[in-house]
Amino acid sequence: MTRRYVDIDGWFSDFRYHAQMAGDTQREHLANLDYQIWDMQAKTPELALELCEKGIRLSQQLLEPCLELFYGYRAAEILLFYLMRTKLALDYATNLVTRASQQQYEQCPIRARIFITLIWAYSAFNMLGYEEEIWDMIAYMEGEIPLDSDTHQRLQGLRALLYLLANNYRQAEEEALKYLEMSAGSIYREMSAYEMLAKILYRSGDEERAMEYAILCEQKAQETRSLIHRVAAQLWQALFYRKRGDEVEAQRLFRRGVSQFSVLGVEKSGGYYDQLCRFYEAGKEYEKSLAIRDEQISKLQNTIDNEDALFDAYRKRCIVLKLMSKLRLADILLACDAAMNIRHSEKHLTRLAEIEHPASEPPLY
Amino acid sequence: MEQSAKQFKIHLPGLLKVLAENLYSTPKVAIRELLQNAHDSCVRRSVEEKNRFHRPHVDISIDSEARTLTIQDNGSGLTEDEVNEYLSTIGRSYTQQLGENLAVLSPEMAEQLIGQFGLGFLSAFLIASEVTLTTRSIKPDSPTLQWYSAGDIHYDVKVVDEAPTGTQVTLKVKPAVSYLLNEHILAETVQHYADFLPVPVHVGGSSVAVNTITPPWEAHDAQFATREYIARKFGVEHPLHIIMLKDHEVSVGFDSYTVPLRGFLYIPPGSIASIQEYGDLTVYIRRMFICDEQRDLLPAWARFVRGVIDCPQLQPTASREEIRREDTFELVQQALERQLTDALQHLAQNDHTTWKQIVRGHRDVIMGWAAKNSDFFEKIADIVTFRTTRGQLSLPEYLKITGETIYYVTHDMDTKQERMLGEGFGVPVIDASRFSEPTFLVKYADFRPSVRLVQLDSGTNRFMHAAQEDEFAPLLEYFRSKNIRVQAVSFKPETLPAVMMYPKDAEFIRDAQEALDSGEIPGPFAGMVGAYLTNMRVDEDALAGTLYLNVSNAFIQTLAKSENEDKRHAALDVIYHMARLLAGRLLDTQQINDLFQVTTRSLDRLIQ
Repeated sequence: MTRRYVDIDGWFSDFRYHAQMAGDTQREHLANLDYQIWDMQAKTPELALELCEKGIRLSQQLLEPCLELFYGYRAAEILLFYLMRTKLALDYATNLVTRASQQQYEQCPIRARIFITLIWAYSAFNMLGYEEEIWDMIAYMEGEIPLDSDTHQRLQGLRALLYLLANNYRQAEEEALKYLEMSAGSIYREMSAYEMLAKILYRSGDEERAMEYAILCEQKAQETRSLIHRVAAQLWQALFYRKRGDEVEAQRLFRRGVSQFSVLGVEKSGGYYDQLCRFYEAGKEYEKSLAIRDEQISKLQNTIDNEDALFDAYRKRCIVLKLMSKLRLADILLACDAAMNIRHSEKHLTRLAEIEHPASEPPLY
Repeated sequence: MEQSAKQFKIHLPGLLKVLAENLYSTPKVAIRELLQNAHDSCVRRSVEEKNRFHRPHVDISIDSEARTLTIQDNGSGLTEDEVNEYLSTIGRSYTQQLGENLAVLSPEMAEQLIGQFGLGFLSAFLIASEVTLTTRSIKPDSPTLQWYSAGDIHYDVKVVDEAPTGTQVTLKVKPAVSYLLNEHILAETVQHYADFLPVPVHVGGSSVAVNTITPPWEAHDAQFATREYIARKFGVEHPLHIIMLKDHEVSVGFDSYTVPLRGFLYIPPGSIASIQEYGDLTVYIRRMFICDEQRDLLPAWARFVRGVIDCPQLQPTASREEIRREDTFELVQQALERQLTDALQHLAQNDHTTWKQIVRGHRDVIMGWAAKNSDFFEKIADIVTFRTTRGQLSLPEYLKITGETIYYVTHDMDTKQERMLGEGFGVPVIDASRFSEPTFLVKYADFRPSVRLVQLDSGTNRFMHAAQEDEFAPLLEYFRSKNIRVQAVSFKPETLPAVMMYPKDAEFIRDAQEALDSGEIPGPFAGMVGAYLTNMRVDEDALAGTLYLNVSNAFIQTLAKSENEDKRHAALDVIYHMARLLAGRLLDTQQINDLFQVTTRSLDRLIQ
């Protein structure tokens, strides 16, 4: 049976159309605010956040509760994906879920996006620690909550990430390909699926195919003008060129990716740090990788926003130290210390043990 | 197979179709392109003929029956060689060649030329199934030539009866764009693309040109003309400030050169009633409209600014509907940022009224950017104003009153309580309830190390001092017997007998708990919200609020000594409910109703 999707675009268009027909400039502006937020979120996320807040206030003033929820959800997304303020995003998303659950919001087309934002927040906060709950929430959403197509696609993408987290590469690839298939026609989601596949195939050791997906991701990123994904795609390609021995192309793409990232206004994510370090480690530039990890750790220690981000950074620091044959007990203990208060720390510590074992190869990440 | 040199074959109708239909975003650009050619032709005539009596003009007329649209200029016309070389060669720009030639004779005039790509005339086929061009060159003894094409690989050229010097282009308009056979639409199109073209354009034989010709920044009274233009074009009657742009000097090593820049920036008023976000420009190149809503030229923080610019050195794309991102683009960006920053700095220092209006009207974007960008922050940190219990104050003005301490709350100061507590000590309280405001204040405290920050709504109140409980034991015991958390403290104003304080997230916790209890939160999400609440380690007792009895209040002191237990209890009930009302939190309409009922009964007991 074909699933019927909630049409959020249609809802927005209708709202805008009726506002235009009625000559209601405030409501028209309220509907158009999201274009500007979209425009600004990668380069000036703080300003985009201000616009979200404006949208919330204007929605309150105009007594438009669904739009108030909508701009709240957009604010949570910006906090999560552009400002890396995961804890704040989690607080926000929990608040939104509480409100969206109330009866008065039952018919709001935006509900599914509120719920998935909470899932994303927990995924960013501590995916391993909340793994079971995330699976439950995905299953529940797909079974019980009216979805829009974009949310459904993203849920599928999350599935792939969860399998990747569990190092089940075959299943992760299968789910990611399903994500790609579902995303046909949505350039943005296709781009996201390609990036995911590049990572999965890299982890599974199939660098040739990973490279192909990275190139496809870059093409889509150019179409969507998403600089953040272009950077990611270029850094992936740089890594693969380096591993093939094409240092010229590797350096060109690496420099371009780093330079393009510098014009964005977003905070460096764990994923970005990982890409830099992978590149350096592939060229045996371990000191550089170590310096990056130390920078990451220093930032995380000052503002702990993710539950497991600090542990993850320490763990990956141990990887590079192992590559340098300089891994000491003190380094392992630092990582253990960072795991002390995180949920399901035993799962995290198991991953540390894999590095610690003298005979083990440092894992790919 | 032997190697041999071959030539590409071109399927002209197909190429025309692709270029005409995919290069341009709207068929109306054909009018723009033809106007451009007409203008360039007039410029050429001015240079080559040097006839000071020559009055260039362009006339657009329509013949609805014949379904034709004609654009006629009295410019330099074309010779037969020029017709064959430029008109019929796609990609060969007549104007570019003309510009190179004119650059020697008259560099200023050469700069005025607009066309460059050799694609403009092609656009005629966007709207026309047939194009007839009749032209007579100013060169002596030039015949009048007629060029004709139906948009395929062939064209005809023949000599016809003598016509005035200049060029006439007649388009047989396609049915799909027959709406262009309308003088009003044509006039609008001319005004959109060629409002500032320095050649008058007449439509339908009108004696008055439909275009403005002189841009406002070149008018005799530029400020007045610009203000009028902003009102007419953008619907903004009273911009807060206008900045007239000027040429930008660039130093490169020991050399310097000028990037010519004309136009203006303006700051619209902003208000909650008509929120608009800006940060965009309308761009002209050599007085020809290129694009509007161009958002990349202005700095990212300038979302409260709009404007119109004309820079001949900006490079358009082939369709002339966008700007290419290259060196001049960056120079213009720098010029705009510099001139805007200087103007705002000047305002901040010399016109506080206008500056306050700007900051107040566009506060959100100004604050948001300042919180992120340290350079911008330093420029505005002492200037931006905050909502306080004493109206809008800048931070230096505020700190003069409070003596280097900032007292603020992060939730909306709808309740009077924090205001009263702050004002009781003679200090205003800042409402920092918007996203970027707490961050801004923290940044300010870093910027000015002598400044101390005190958040008033973090759960405990900093204005209270613990007091000895013994003297007030009967009062405290009464509340405790009713499971009301209570403390004896002293605070100002002394007129306040008591205040109720709740934890910062009390409303959320209550709503979440209610939603969980009623089963509203679905499935596993309920578990997540429940776990979240658990992790908050909420003091359940504190959620109901804590009553702070003000031992400095005369009535509380009297009550403590009163021996009439019933009246004392009734009075304490009233004080408790007054405090709840003053706090204004966690009260729904039913609870307020109940509160008044209880209070009324207590008052009844008191008067008996």
